[in-house]
Amino acid sequence: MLRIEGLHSFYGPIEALSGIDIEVKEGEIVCLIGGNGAGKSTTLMSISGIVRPRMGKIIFNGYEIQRAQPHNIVKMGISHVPEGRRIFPRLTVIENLEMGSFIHKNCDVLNFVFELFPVLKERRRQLGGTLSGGEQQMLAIARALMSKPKLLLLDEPSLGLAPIIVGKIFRVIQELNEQGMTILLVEQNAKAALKLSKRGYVLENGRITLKGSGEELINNPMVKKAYLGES
Amino acid sequence: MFFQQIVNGLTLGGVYALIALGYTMVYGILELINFAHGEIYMLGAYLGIIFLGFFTAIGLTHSNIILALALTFVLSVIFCSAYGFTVEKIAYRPLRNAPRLSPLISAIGVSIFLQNYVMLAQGTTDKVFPHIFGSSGFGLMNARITYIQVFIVATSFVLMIALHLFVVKTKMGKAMRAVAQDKTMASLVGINIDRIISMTFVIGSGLAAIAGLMVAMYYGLVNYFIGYVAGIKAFTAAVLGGIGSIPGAMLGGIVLGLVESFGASYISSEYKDAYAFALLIIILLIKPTGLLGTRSIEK
Repeated sequence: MLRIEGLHSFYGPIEALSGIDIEVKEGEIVCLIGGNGAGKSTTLMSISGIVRPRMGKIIFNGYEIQRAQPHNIVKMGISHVPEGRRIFPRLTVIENLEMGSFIHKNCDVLNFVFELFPVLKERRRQLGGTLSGGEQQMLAIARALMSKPKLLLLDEPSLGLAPIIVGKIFRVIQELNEQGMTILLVEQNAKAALKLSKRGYVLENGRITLKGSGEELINNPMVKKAYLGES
Repeated sequence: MFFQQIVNGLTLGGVYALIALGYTMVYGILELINFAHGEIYMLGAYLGIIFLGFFTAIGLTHSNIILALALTFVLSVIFCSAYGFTVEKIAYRPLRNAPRLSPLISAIGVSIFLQNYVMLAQGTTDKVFPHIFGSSGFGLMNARITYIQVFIVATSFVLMIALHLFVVKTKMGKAMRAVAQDKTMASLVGINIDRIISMTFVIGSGLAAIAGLMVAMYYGLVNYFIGYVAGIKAFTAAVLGGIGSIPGAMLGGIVLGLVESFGASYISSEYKDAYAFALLIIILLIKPTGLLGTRSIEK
C-alpha cells in the first residue's frame, strides 16, 4: 500500500532522513521506533506532505506522492495524527470533527467515532482546548478517522498520557486494525508498540538500522537494551 | 444633540468596522498587517464613481436608480475582490515563508503603488460622487437623520451579521478559523490553505469596497489619499477590539466611530482624528490585547 524508497528529508538545515526504505502492506500495523531526533516524526511528515523530501520516492497505492500538497494527500486516503495532537483549541469538539471530514460533503462516520470514544459525544459542545490530554488524543484520532482514511499515521499517541488512557488508546488502535485499517505507528513506548505491530523498523540518526516482525524485534538483544530498558 | 451624535457615530463606526474586518481577518490568518487594505477601500470609492458615471451615461441611473446603484455595488465589490486576490497572490504569497518583516514591507509597497496608480490615472483633484440620496432625511428625537445614514448603518450591520454567521456556521467559515488556529494541522485534515487565504482576502476586500462606496456617497468627495486615513483609523479599530478577533473589529469600529463623533461635538472638532488615537493608547495601556482580544501564544 505504501512504499518509501531511498527517502532523504531535511528538517531545517539538518538532514533528518538519510535514505530510508519502508514498506507498509494493506491491513498491517507497522511501527517505527527510535530515540529522540532519529527521524520518526520527519518520516511521517514527509509522507503527509508537510516536509518536502529532497530525494527518494513515496509511493501510495501506485501513485508517487512525494511532490503532492498535503490536502491532496489527505484526499488520496492518508490521515496523519501529528505529535502533540494539535487540536484546534478554539473550535468545539464537534467542529474539530467536522474539520476532520472537510474533504467529504457528508460525514457518515460521526456515529462510528462517537461509539469508539463515547466521551467525545458528551463533550461535543466544549472547546477543544478545554479537554484533558487523553481526551484531546482521542479527539485527534477521531478527527483523523473522519476523513475515512485508508492509511492512518499515528505519531506518539501515548505521549504524556496516564497509563490507563494509554491502554485505552492502544486498544482502539488494535480495534481499528482488526476492522481493516492500515496503520503506521511511531511510538516511544516501544514495547507496547511492538506487541501490537505486525512488523517494525528501528530508526537511528535518519537510517533504518533494524527491521523485522514485532516479535523478532522485541526479542532482539540490541532493541532490548536500547529501547525496552532490559539488559 | 446626544442622539444626533449616536447616529453620526454609528454611521462612521459601521464603515470603520467594515474596513477593520479586513485587517483583522488577514491578521488572524497570516499575522500580517495588510497595509494595502486602505487602498482597496479607496479603489472601491473610485470604482463607484466610474461605474455610476457609466450607468448615468447610458441612462440607467435615470430610468432605474435602484438597479444602477445595485450594479455599481456589485461591480465594485467584484473588482476590489479581484484586486485583493491579486495583491495576495503576487505580493504576499511568494513571501509566505520569509521573515515577518518582508511581507510587511511588501504591503507598504503595494499601498504606495496603488495610491500612485490611482493618482496618475484619476488625477490629484477631488472627484465628486454623484448626489443620489441628496441630503434628504427625517427628524427623530431632535436629531436629523439622512437616508444615506440609515442606508450605511443598515448595510454595515447586515454585512457584519452575515459575516458572523458565515464564520460561525458554514464549513468554509469553520475552515477559516481552523487555518487561523493551526495552519499545518488544517492542511493535514485536507483544507487547501492557499484557497482559504485567498477567500479571506476576497471577503475583506469586498467589505472594504462597500465601505468605500458608502463613504463616497456620504461625503460626496473622493481623492486618491482617502485610503490612508481610513486605513489607519480602521486599523486602530481592529487593534482596539483585539486584532485577529472578528467581533472585536466590529466592536472596535463602532466604539471608534462613537468616540470620534462625540469628541468632535462635545470637545472640539479640530482634534477629531486625535480622539481615535488617544483612545487606542489608553486601551493598549490598560488591556494590551484589545477589548475582545485573547492572549496569543508566541510562536
